[in-house]
Amino acid sequence: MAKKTTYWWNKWTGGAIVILLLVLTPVFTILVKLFDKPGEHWRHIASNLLPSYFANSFLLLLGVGFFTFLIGVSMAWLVSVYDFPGRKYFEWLLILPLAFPSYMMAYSYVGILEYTGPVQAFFRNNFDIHFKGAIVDIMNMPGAIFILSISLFPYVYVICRASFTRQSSAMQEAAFLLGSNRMRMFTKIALPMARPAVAGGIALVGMEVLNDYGTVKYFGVDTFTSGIFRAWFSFGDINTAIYLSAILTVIVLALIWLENFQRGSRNWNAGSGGSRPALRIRPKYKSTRRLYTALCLTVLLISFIFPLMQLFYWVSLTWQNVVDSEFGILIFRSFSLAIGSAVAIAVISIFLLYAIRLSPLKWTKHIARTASLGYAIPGAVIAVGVMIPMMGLDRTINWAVSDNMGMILSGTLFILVVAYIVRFMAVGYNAIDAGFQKTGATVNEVARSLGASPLRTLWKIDLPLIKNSIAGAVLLAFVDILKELPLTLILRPFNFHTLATKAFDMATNEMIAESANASLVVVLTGVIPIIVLNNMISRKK
Amino acid sequence: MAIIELNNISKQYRNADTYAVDGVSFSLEKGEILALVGESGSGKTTLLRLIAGLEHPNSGTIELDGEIIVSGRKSLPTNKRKTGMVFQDYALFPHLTIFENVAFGLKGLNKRETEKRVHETIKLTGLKEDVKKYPHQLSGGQQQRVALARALAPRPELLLMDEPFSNLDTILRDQVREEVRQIIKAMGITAILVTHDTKDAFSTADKIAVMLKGKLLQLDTPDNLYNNPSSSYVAELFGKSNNVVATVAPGGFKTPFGFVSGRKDCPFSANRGKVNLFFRAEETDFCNAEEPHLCGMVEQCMYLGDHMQLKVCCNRCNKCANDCKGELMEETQSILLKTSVQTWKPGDIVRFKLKNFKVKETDSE
Repeated sequence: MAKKTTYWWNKWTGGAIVILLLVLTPVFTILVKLFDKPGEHWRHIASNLLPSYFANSFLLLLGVGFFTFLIGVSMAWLVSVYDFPGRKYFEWLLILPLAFPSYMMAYSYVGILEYTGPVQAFFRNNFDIHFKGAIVDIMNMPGAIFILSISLFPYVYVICRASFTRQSSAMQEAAFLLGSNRMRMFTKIALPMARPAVAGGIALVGMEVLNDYGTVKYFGVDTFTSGIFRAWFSFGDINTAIYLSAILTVIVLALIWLENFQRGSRNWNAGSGGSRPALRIRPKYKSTRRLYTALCLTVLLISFIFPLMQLFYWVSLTWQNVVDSEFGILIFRSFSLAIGSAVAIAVISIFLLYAIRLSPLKWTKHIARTASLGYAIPGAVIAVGVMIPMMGLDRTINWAVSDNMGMILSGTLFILVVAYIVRFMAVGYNAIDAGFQKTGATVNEVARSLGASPLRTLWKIDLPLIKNSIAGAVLLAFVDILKELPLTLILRPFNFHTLATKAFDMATNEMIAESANASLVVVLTGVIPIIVLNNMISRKK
Repeated sequence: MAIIELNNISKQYRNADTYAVDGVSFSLEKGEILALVGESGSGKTTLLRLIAGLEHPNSGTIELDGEIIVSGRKSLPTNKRKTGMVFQDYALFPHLTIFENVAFGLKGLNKRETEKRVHETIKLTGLKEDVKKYPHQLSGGQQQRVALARALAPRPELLLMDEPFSNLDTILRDQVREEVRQIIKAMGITAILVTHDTKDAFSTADKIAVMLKGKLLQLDTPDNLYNNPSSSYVAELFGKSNNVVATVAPGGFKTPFGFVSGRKDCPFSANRGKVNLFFRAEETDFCNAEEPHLCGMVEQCMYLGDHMQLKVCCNRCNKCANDCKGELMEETQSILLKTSVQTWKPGDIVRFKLKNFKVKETDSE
């Protein structure tokens, strides 16, 4: 007689619970520390620096939120509603700025605008116009808003374009039949319908802004994240760093709550999913069409091409000094670390999602989602949250073996991999979840009803069917990890560099031209998944 | 001996106000085919998934072949239950060939035995296709056969089918229905199929269970269900039926359409007040004015190919009143009559009598 078990329990559930607890530990650690006593420098920071951290972070959020909304929504509207020369290419070219980490963008723009930069040289050589210093000083708050806006607007653009193209033509036609013109159609129908999507995109932008360290550090704008770094590195005061992290975490969680709250139960696009997409309109006048092309081209030039050209220019000047065997090792290390972590993320995501699939309890889905919380939490905070329990573990191990083995967890790459997993779990999780959703649950159920064990079903049925999604998940997580800066800066072992930290290190040490070599590798690698994913999507169409 | 037995099974989904399955009990003998019939949302698919082990009930026990497989929080995992399942969308493994699909559930057989079993089963389902093909290269009917072969290959004790015919077109459907019954019977397998189509149920099943809002209304042979429905819902589900309000009168019943003389065994005495007369659309005969008859006016004619359906109402016009000798009631009602194709048109007066009818007390549903 076969053995009966408790209906909701199996090894997968057990494993999933353990993984979930581990992944959530950093967040819990930080939140618990909020009720602890702050460190010795807290009073100094709270009275002298905290107000400006608050003001700067808030201003940055507001400014970047506004501009990403403006650029993202307008670009999305142009490419999804109108037809003009080059539209097909702009559709995906406008995503490319995502491959450009904002801090690298910042270095490029400083280079573009400085005395020896191409703009000034052009004016000087052709018109004999001389500027004092940089043409426009961007190393300040407006500059930070500009840089972050042009590098982050694709988040809003991508989500918004998806929403616009999903809106059915029937609805547009209905609006026109009721006497609306295109402008009214946009403000009264399309934009309100896309509102949940737009807000979701801006929320993502907000999280990236709070996460940013490289740009604000370089431009000297003090935000919460730079506060955490200052407490940690300048004051050596871990407790204050934790306390700042905790406050930042609360802000982020409030942001997530606000986003969920505004979305409520709205799912306005789902209803029209099956209908035919809206027809694109070809503007009547050639000049209008050219204007649209020019608009898209301008955004693309500013947000991607110009800074990329600057990188190429710098590389052409310095590569002979920088690119050597050591640089090769740097690339190799950086890539292996990112690939290893990305694969780990994929494996863990598959495990979690498969446990949900097997579970007869439907609400496990919502609990497992919290595993992807790390994406919303700034890298510096996660670094702190991972560091504390790891140091505790190190002490326990050293005590247990009564031997001073040193920081075998917190001082090695292990802690970096764990932190990457916590921070970028969502990237892999969402991609693989999409794969599972697409294959549907019935193939899995039918395999099990045929007597295959859950493991055999996963191996023979589910995994072969979602292999593309797994590849996508690894690729996306890989690129995100390669670009990661704040978390890596805090947790990297002594003297260990990734491409990102190397670029940061050189740029902050007056070797900005040399830093372009590492930057260029990161940016070009980041372009690959965008092209690959775009091909996959257009093939599906 | 009962092969499957459900005892007071209830299932409520989280965030749902009502039970998806509400206190269902039944048992099925070996070799029987049961059809679960009901409208969408009646809980029939949930019941099937509970038996397969894909859901766990809030309460109740399930026994399969003398072994309790579900009780309290304990449950036998799906892969250890010997049940085969055919899904509505077939759920064929798209990356495996027909052969690999059918062989998937076979365990403990060597290569030769596996091949033998697969070909045997495929032959039984009447599939004449290259087994090296992939599911997307097959037509809907062929995919259906593969799904059936895959479920049957491990020789399950119980075969579960969720809307197995709903993705087939009408012509194919009639043919496949008949074949599926023959295949199941030939293998002596017990089967439960879920359907919302009563034709599926009548043509394939030995027993039919009618479900409504999670409750099992009636489980009976097709014959009994049709002739002795336990409620008006069941009656309505299996064909057009009429429910006419009548008043008990000496020797019969007064209806809006005229006087119906009661049978001798009629248990209703003269002072019982209102009752329902229940008869099916085809249980009427047309007659001429000389015989005792009922009459009404044609309100709507529907041409249905081999027959016509008339919607007849009683609007208490003078014509009818004279015709039926003043036995009319106050209420206005309409009924459906089935007729061979004739030239009826709205406004005609129809004279008919009831071949057969049942008297029911006014039911609460």
